[in-house]
Amino acid sequence: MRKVLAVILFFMVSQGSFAQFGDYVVIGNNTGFKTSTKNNAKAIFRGKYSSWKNGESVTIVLPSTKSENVVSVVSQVYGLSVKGMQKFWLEQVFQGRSNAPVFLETDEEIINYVKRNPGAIGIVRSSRSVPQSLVIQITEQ
Amino acid sequence: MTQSTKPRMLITRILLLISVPLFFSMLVFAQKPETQLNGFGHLEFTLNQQDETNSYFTIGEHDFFVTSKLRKNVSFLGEYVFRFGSGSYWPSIERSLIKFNYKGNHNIIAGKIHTPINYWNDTYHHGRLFFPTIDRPMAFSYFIPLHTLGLQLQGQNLGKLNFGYDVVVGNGIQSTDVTQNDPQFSVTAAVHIKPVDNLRVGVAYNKDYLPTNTPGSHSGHQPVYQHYNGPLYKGAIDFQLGTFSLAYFGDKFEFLSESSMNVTRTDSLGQANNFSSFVYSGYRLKDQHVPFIFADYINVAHNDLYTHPLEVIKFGLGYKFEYNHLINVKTILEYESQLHGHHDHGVHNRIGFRVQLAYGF
Repeated sequence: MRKVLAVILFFMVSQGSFAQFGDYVVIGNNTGFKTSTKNNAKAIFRGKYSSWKNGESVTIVLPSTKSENVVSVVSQVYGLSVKGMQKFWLEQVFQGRSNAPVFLETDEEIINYVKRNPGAIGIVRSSRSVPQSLVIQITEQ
Repeated sequence: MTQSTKPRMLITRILLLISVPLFFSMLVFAQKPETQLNGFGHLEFTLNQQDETNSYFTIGEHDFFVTSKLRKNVSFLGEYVFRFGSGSYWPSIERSLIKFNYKGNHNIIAGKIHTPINYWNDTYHHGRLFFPTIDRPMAFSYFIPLHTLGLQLQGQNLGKLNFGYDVVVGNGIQSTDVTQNDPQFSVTAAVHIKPVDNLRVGVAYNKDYLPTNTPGSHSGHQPVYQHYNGPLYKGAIDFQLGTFSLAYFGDKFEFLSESSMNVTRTDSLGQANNFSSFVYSGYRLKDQHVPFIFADYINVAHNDLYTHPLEVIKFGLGYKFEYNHLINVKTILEYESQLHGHHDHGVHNRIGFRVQLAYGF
């Protein structure tokens, strides 16, 4: 009984210390880290980094405007409307300070793209079947 | 030039301009990198009341913009512009650069760039779609050196303050895109911080030397002494420029301040101190609507032999409607008062009403 309680307690604590973006999970391939704070993850998706510490070039992968996830992902990660996010990236790329993100329509396409491209980082619904090796845990602090 | 050769030359120019981004697109398609081609353009209507009233429509610059990731840490960016001038359309390469991301957020850039001398020149380039007002600050038409062709070291988003730096060595004001006509390169150094989202504060310094005071293709998009019709000084000019920029573009409130201090030295008239200040403020209502105000002032000293004496002040009241991220309409009502130093023909006051339709495609 004690073991069962300990396991339940462990899950409660671990669920409390990790915070995904609502129903979404951040995935990355050879980014050189497995956990990130929520604020840092937001900064990553806003183009803060050009390359990771391991030398891989950063490629941001986002749901396209045709994706059913786009509104909620953009709202949680950027705090913007879809139009606001499009404007944000158009300006960033035009300034020459960031590479354009890759926009894909479905979670499966995002997962496959991240799998195939070292340095890529994306966000998909947590209900999707995602290889554990790609998951980046997001903490509040 | 005969009438029949003019269209042929125009077609040749257009083909050349289109072929540059196409060449890079084909190059990168062969290697399967990500390549994007975008365009920006604008149309304007102007109604001026000066000595007499005049009104006209204008087709503005059309800007073809290409970016491509050539390999893991190497990317290409090109910006090619058509504009109307001297009775014909003229193409120009405004930016064409290769960026090598050698470590973290540090890059080496080679090519033709917009000099990172202030927020506006480093951010908006030729995309009227992104301009908060219709025009650039006035100083851009006079003593701000808009382009450099050379090498740039760039860092960005470093540390908690998101510190950034740019150091540029390249062909200066008196050079062209293919040669350097003076013995010294121009040097630009700029730093900025972004301590919170949407805020950027920066300072920059530019030093150049013009042995025969003959501005080339990197001074600006028009002659710096467009307002002056006296004899031109052909001696040497030592040119220095310092700038300060404060930009905040939040969800609701927008603010931009660009200040410049320009010092030119000549053996004949000594040191001339010139300065300019531009301030913009807007407030976003209901997502798509941004009413705004701006003020712009430039003062070029009576003994300046590069820009030549000038004093202009401009105020404006405007409104921007953003249909979406690819189309906006700006309207402004502006008042301008111009005084031309010791070659002046009196004070010129102008009231203008302008509409600009800016778009991306």
